[in-house]
Amino acid sequence: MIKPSTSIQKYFLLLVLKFFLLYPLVHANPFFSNADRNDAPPTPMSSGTGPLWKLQIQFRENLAAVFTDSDSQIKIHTILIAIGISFMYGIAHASGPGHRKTIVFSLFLANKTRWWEPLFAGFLSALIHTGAGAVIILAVSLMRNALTNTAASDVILAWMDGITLCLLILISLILVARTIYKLFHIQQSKNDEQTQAKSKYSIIILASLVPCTGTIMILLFSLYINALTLGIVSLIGIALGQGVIVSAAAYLAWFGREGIFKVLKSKETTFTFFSGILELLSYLFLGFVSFILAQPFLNWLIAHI
Amino acid sequence: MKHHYRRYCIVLIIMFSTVGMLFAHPHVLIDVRLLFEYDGAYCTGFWQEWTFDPIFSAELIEGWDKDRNRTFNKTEQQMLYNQAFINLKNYGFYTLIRKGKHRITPSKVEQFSAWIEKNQVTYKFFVPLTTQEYSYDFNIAIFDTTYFCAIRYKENFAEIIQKQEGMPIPQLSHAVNKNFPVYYNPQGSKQDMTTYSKPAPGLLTAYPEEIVVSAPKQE
Repeated sequence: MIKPSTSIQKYFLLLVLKFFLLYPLVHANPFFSNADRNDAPPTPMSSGTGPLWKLQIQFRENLAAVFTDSDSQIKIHTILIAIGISFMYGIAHASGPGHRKTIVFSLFLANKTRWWEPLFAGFLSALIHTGAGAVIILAVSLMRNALTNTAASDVILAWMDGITLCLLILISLILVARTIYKLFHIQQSKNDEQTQAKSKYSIIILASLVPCTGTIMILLFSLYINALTLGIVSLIGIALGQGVIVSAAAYLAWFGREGIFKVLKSKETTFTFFSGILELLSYLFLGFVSFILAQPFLNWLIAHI
Repeated sequence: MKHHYRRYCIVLIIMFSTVGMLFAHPHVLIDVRLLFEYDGAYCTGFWQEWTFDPIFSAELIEGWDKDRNRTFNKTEQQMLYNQAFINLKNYGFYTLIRKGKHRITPSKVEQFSAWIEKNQVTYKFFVPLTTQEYSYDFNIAIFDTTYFCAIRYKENFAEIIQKQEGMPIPQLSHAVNKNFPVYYNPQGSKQDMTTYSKPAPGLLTAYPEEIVVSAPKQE
């Protein structure tokens, strides 16, 4: 007999597969696909302008030059240059919208953590975020039985982004309910701290599973021109660069929280109450940001069901 | 104590707002050059040459140079047009044509071609203009409000092709025009191709660099 949870999982899987099979793997890159069709989900994405985009483009061009100028016998200095440039590219790229900075930020604002945790979480998130790109390329290439392109991978990315954002909305609602309950009913125990830590890292891992188009494009580029070693090396560099930025966002929250509670330390009741309120606000913020980002995906989903 | 609360509330607000700060996120770089065609005093249209960065070019070469001879033959160009170009119609081909206060985007383009040079792909296409409407006083901006593409003008950013001998050649320059901004939705998806003509809550303002076509120098 099939357990109810298993059948729900199967139903969900079938629903996802239905969409993938019904809607061909085209669209998200604005250059690709047929102009008269709009049958794949939009990629949730923020955009804007600022001082770093020129720098980002410059690093990207330099990285491409390193790839194309290298001969078949890749030397150690070429690898070091590729790591250096991709590290800087990672910093510039992660300064842009996305890359789960807001999520990591709100989680470190919500919970008390040890000093090294923002660093660990930032790099963990960036490594998963970058590594997931390689997995997507491998998976889509296997599905298509040929090397993929950004058109195909972008649609997978759009689905992953949409689904994880919906899950994040759900999780933040659960966390909001749990925090409200805790505020009025029970004292925090050691078990609560462990549960908080577990849920924090689960959210970070879940949110970081969605890779970014930038890293996918660089890995694909290395595959197209037969420079996979440099591609992998650059991905590590990008992950480290992105880790710096995501960790910085986490530390911004960590220092802010530490500073606030230093002031409140002497008054235990106020301390506990304020801690609960901050936790509540952080989860509300997480839910709100996830909802805003998920809106194009949700609108598309509602229109197509 | 009250003073501390207020201070830390301000710190909190700043922290929440700065972490979500938006910066650019382009994934493709396009170097653009325009060639304006003049038949006497009127511009009949303009050619656009878009040269893509090596990373996106590699994807186009991998996907559409089927015979791997580093050129796009007619069939490959047709496939490229259908599969990796014409969708930009939904984005107004990233082209903003402004005459006075009136700004439009082209609904169609013609004579698409593509080639590969030094690992970079270039697209060339013609944007026809309505007869006798565009003379010496209009502006063109090539700009992607979704910021998927970063667009910059080449050093030789534009040229004039005058079909009638002896007719004057208009002047060309490029500059950021602060008087006619573009409004866009920073939370829009990559497929959000809405062009807003007025500011509204939630929209951000961008000032694209325009190519200015102005009257020929008086002899």
